[in-house]
Amino acid sequence: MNINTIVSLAVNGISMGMIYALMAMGLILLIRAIGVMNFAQGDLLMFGAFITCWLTVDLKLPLWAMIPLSIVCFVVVGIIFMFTAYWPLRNASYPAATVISTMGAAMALKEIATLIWGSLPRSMPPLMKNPATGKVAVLKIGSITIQWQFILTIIVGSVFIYLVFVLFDKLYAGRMMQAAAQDKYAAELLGIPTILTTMATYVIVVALASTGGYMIAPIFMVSNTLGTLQLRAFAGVVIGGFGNIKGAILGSLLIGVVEAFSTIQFSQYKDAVVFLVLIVFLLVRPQGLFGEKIADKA
Amino acid sequence: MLQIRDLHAYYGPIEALKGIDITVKEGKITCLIGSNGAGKTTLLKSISGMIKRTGSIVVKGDGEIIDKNSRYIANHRIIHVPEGRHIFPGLSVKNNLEVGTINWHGFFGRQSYANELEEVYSLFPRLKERENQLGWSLSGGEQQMLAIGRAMMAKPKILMLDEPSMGLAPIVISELFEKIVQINQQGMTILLVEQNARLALQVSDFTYIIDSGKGILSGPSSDLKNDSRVIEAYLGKAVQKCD
Amino acid sequence: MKKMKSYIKPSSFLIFIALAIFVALVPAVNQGYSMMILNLGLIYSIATYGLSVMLGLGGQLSFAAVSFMGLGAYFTANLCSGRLGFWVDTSLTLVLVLIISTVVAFLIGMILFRLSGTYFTFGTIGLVQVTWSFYLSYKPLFGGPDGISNVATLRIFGWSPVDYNQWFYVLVVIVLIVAILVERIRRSQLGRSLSAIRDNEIAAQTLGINVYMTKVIAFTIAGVLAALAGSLYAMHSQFVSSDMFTFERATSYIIMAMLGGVNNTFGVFVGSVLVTMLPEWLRGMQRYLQLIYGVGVILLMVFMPMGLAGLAGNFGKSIKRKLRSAAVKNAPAEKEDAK
Repeated sequence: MNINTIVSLAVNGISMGMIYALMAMGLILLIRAIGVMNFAQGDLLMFGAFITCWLTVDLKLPLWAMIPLSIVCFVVVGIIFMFTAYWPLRNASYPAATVISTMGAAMALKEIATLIWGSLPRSMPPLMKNPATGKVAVLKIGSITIQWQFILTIIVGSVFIYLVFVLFDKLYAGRMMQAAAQDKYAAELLGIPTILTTMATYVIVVALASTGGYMIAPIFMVSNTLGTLQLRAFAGVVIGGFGNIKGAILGSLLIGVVEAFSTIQFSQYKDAVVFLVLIVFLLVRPQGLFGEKIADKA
Repeated sequence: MLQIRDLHAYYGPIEALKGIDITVKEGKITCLIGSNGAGKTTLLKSISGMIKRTGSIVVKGDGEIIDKNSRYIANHRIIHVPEGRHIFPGLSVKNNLEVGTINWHGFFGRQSYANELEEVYSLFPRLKERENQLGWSLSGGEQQMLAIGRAMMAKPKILMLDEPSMGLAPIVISELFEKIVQINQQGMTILLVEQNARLALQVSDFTYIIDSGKGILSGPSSDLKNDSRVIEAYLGKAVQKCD
Repeated sequence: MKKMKSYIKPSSFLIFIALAIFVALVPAVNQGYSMMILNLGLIYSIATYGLSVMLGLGGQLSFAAVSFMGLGAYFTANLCSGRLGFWVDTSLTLVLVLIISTVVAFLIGMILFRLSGTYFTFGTIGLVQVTWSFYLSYKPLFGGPDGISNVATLRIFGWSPVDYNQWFYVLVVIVLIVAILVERIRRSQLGRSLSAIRDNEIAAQTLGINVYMTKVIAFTIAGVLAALAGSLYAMHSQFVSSDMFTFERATSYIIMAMLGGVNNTFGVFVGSVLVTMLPEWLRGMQRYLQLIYGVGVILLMVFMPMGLAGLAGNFGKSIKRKLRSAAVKNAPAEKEDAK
């Protein structure tokens, strides 16, 4: 166990944690806006990974073209997702119905991805290559070696998180969205177009998850099983304290780090370790790190 | 200002309002009283466009609004302050008030609403004291003031209040109603729905009484206050005549 | 026999007839591979019945069914394949599975129900992931990624089913027993308490219901049924591997329950069989299977959240309404004639 391993694992863990955090933020936004847990979150990440892979590898688009095009795709996916999995059920009396429809949406997403891009996993080149060697770019500090793309993930993730906070805290439009999420009835009486705010929420959620997918694509292969990562994000949300965005982010980072360090001893059992941590947390401190007074939407 | 004729409102197959006629005069306080379930909140929801309705609702300057959606109606400055206040619990007082400006500010507008904010604060100084507190931490009376202040930020031409006295202590209620009268004296047209009949008759200029979705009595409040039928039904037999 | 009388309503009678026809016809039509799939549907329905007690009656969303299925399956696999060095008779194993799963489910339920509502659901997700991780990786007990094979098949009183058709009859009997059991629970004090908890937990508490213990008991029942299903699975397929016990499989059980109508005993059976058989019937459309499945689930929730049973119920109600209004139309005419 040398310093290289520790730092490497830590960076790895935080980087994965960032991706979980992006999903977790999306989960919380949706819980606030529509009151249910989205079991298709992981598959949104998967779909985003496929889209960005397609734009980068198949169409060979340079970064400056890929980004706006991918945003367009995210908007389309977000709107379609909202109108299929949520809209028809918005007045449902059976709250489990919406949750289960997200499970259906998850399956549909997997299949659509397979239909469009085939069932073979695809690989994506590292986000940052060393121009000289053509291999993964690494940062060397003394004896420590860190892959640049993990650092990039941490940076990009942090930027996105910051942007979301800016949107909701600083921007007028963000506060309107929060109002619509907190009390739809009152918001409509004041003239807020709640359909638009909900759509915006969905688009943001899809964008967050998809960006996570883009970051993760070079590390894992892009395949339709990426969706299972959402369970880590769920754990992060719960540990952080249900409904609390800052908590969800911290919880996800924690999960990422725990997962990374558990590979030292229990490599095959990292799932067990991560979720045992979750269960312990639930039992010892169910309200999470930053528990809110009202967790569930009544 | 607002003319309602033969209004029918429906919750699904159930007809909650069965032909209501109401006139809301400009610059006056018109109140609507009646027992629980009479249809008072339904009436406000009909005006603000939140339920299915038929008939005619004509607004001065806008024409017929019976077929318009709630967003249109709010954008045309007819603001409904709902029963139970419905303030935004996770937003600060200041942000709650800010939300009220949406219908004239626009999502990406750049206008300042500082003037409107000042006006509301001078009306409800308590809100300025609690400017940065989150909505859920305010008391009932403060939340009601916040809800009304938020509606004022929308620069309404008709302000509709649904049971503002609900759940509040008497002393808070009288303070609140003083403010309501003050708002009216500044020229605001108010449609007030109340279960507290005595209070409503006291502050309003005109009164409509409905029961089971139908209009029963109407007239200037000063007359109805002393009408024996009203006293018996809504004010209690042992009560002295109000002044 | 007296108790049976209370179940003889017109709809029950219809169901009974349908079931009899089903049992009589199916073995004639189905054989070999498709029979195996149908058997799996029956086995899964046992676990789904457990789920319906938790979700339909009690309103608690639990993913734990697959964990307990694994428990039953691996326990059986270990004892009945000789890999631990000894053999245990399969009937005895079944009994052991029932006993052990009762204890384990009870203990785990006691722990998990210290959490409420959504937290509980996440606790079950955690449980599933933990158990799956062990099922996948711990070779000594669970055979690792290769699983455990050569599990002996069921033997009762010296008789074993020789093919899937004979398994079918065995399973039908077991499913029937489970279904009647669940129906009796539904109508019992326990069932009513669970429904009260589902509808309003706080109100249920004020009525004197011990909410915690009631939930734990429901969880235990669900766990035992799931373990039974797992054990039968091991004996039927004679092979156990961890991808039967993933989170994704857990969601499919929930869908099975919802499809048929989570609160309708017959519906649960129909839902399980349909969900299991559908991929076979739509063989030609293999490419679009998951898509149809996924979209179907969404449509199901939109139009029939109460499942097929709900649809049938609504259908029945609208027929009754039509009959009644027709009767009303005729009655006044009769009176007039009488004059």
